[in-house]
Amino acid sequence: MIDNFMVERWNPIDSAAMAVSVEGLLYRIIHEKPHPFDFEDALDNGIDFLQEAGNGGAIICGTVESPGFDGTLSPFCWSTDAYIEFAPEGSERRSDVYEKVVTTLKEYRLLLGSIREGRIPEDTNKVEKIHSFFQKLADVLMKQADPTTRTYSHEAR
Amino acid sequence: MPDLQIERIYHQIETELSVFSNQLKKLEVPNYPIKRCQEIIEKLIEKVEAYKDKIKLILDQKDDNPDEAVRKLITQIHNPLVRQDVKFLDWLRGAQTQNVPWSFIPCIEHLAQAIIPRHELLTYCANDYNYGITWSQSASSAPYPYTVLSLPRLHRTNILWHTIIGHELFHPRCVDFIKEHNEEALTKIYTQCEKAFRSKENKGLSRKLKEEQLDRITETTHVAWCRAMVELLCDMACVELFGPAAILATRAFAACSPIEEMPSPENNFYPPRLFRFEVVWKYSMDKKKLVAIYTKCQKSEAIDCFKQEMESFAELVSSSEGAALLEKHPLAKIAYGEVNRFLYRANVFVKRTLPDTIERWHSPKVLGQIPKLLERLQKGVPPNELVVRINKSAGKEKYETQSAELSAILIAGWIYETYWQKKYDQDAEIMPYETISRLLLKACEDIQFNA
Repeated sequence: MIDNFMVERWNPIDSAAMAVSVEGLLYRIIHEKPHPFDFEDALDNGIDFLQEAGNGGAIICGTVESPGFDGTLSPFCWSTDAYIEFAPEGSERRSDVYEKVVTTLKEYRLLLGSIREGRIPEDTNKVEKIHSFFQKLADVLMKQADPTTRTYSHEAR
Repeated sequence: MPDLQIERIYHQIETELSVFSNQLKKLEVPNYPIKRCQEIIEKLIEKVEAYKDKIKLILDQKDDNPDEAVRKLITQIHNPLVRQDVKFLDWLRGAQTQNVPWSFIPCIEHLAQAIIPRHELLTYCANDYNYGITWSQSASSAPYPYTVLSLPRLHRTNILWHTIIGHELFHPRCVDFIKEHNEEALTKIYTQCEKAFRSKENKGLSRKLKEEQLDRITETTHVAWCRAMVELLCDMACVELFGPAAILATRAFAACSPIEEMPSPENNFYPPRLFRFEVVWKYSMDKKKLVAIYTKCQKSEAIDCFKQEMESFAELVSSSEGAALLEKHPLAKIAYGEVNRFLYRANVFVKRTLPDTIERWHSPKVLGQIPKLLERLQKGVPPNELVVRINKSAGKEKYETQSAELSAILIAGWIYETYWQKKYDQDAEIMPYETISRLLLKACEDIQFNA
């Protein structure tokens, strides 16, 4: 009985839309443009995503604070891919990289939380950094969500 | 991104929405066996309007950041439409009354309401030679908020095979079991993979490569564990509901498939059929109750054939070759070592999770119904009810009847099927398979109508 599956809450299509929305929102903050129409949804989804990714990372690093993680590791894997894209290449232990990703995700989540509460950080460097992260994340996910690479023409065997 | 690009994407999406909308309107015309299909069409038409509103909002803000507008049009409208919503066109076509076993749909609905009460089912027939179920946790990804159950199109009216829906409908319930035990299993699998990996000659590999390789091995083994647990839980649920009917249906459905195929990425890590048969026979099949069927039914050729078939199944699984097969591959050994550790708990979980509102095959009521339903079927009468008493008053006879249970209908049907398989070529008098299916479908329609 093949083909039984559950579409996860954080699948590439939904996650790509989330990443693009957050990226757009941060761009507007940096360039002092008006809020986008999906301002609140984008922040809520972005925070949820970072929370899920951080929880998944804590499982991988063995630093779970509270048991009962029932999400998936996909958000953490995608976040790690995005992080590696703009973080300096090093000969660090894999577990060290994961720990850094988890710390960074927490930092970003808190920053999005403060934006939601109306506190825009004065230091735009921080916002630019998180903007780059979501930009890379959106690139990673848009490739995965692209319908044209899901199937391919081939000789039937 | 130049404005021209935005215009091009906008015009493309506009066309896609218009075609999608027209297709939905065409789908409104035919009949569906349940009202839900019409509701789905209405909701999708509303969704198209919501997409149009969103496009307007995106375009209103495009001058601030054209790049953002393009990416939003793609990720918020185009991708969900062409990758998600469009699936409903096939599902709805396959769900039309003429394309599904319509007389069995109420039974499927009834069973689904009991097993997965929060799921709204859409049953359709697909070209795939397979049964399947899909549901979504995402608020925007198809088939949310519905659960899509697919049946093989060429076996649309083959109700005996549709016993397998007992397996399919349990899939969404497995999530709870996996969540509860995932961490424990993953930790054990990791430890064992590490042990096995260290003992290998891999001194030439750098630390980073070793770690990556161990990660991959652990992940693959964990996927194999997870897939095996889910399939076995569903098999157990189907047997708990329909007993021998579940076993015979699964065996018949898999008759053209290899039963000793090892789990691998090519087969989505599905556990070997033979192992699945061994597990349900050992953990889920109440053999005493099976003997009760043999003895309760009047001695007949049909019962002899059924008994023979069940005994041949018992023989097939008796040597545990499926389990032995899995011992041969080091990673399968680790994954299935963990599977075996959880089987008892899995069986307890299945029994606890299935609601009492469904009459199970081993209940006295069902066991009592099977012989009488078999008699009806043998006479070419739909096995839909049992005459409990005949009241004679004022020269008239009034029949007091009891509605048949689904599991009793299916088991009676399968008993007759084993006889039919033996007799069909020799005896031209015996009814064709289509007639057996129609009688059983009629019975299933009647029991839901009466309910």
